[in-house]
Amino acid sequence: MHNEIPIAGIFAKLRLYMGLLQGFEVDGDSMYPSLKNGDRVLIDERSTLGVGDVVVALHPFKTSVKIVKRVSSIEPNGKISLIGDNPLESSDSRSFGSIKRTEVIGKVVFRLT
Amino acid sequence: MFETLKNKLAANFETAEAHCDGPCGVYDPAQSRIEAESVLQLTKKILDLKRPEGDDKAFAAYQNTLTRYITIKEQRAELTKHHLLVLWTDYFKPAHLEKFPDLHETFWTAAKLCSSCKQEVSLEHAQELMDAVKKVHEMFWSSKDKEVPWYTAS
Repeated sequence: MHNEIPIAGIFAKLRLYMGLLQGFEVDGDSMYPSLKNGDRVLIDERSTLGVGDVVVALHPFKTSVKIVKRVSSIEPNGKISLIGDNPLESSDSRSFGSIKRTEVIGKVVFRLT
Repeated sequence: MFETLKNKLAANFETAEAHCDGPCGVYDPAQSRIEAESVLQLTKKILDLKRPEGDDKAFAAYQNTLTRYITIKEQRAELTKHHLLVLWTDYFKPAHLEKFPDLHETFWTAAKLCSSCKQEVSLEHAQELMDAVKKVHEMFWSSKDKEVPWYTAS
């Protein structure tokens, strides 16, 4: 399941300006074709998560790295599995396992391009 | 106000990684250029080599030299193919196809020329391989929006 990411309007940009949303720039092609290298996205830390949502999360063992992936499943214990839309170019839960909910920074709610 | 907002927005974007955990991420088509250039030079050397008359010792030396040229040409053509395949399968991504629609054809042709240069002693194919590697060089640096002039060592 792939939930679509709408393009940000002026109100979404104002929410970013006010600090209610966070902006991230995508580096790499693991989310191609949904997100391309250089695309900019806005995330909401408060959104509820579901399978099919795209999220920005902390890498489980690279402390300085944040990753953007899609939620492929949510286990009964709350742990979340992530996968790239372009699995051949992606390191995700297939290699590092599921992550904790607290490691998800937020859900991608808008894209700028 | 809108300009301020735009600047504020531009400054606020962190990086979210969307790639695989590749080993080093360092790529340069110069590796394939050096090896392809060796193939061209060895092909020329093989074609220029003259078979000696009479003396067994001279003939043994000739055979030794010819064998070394052929062996090294074989190795360098294989290395050219290896470096090209690394660029093709590891560096270039589906998104690059939009900018370079002939990307697959270019690499496929170049890889085939590496095989031809092993099978044959063909100056024509060795030069075509250099031309193909030059095209890869141009596509690679264009994909990085860098101007890196093509040059050869010989």
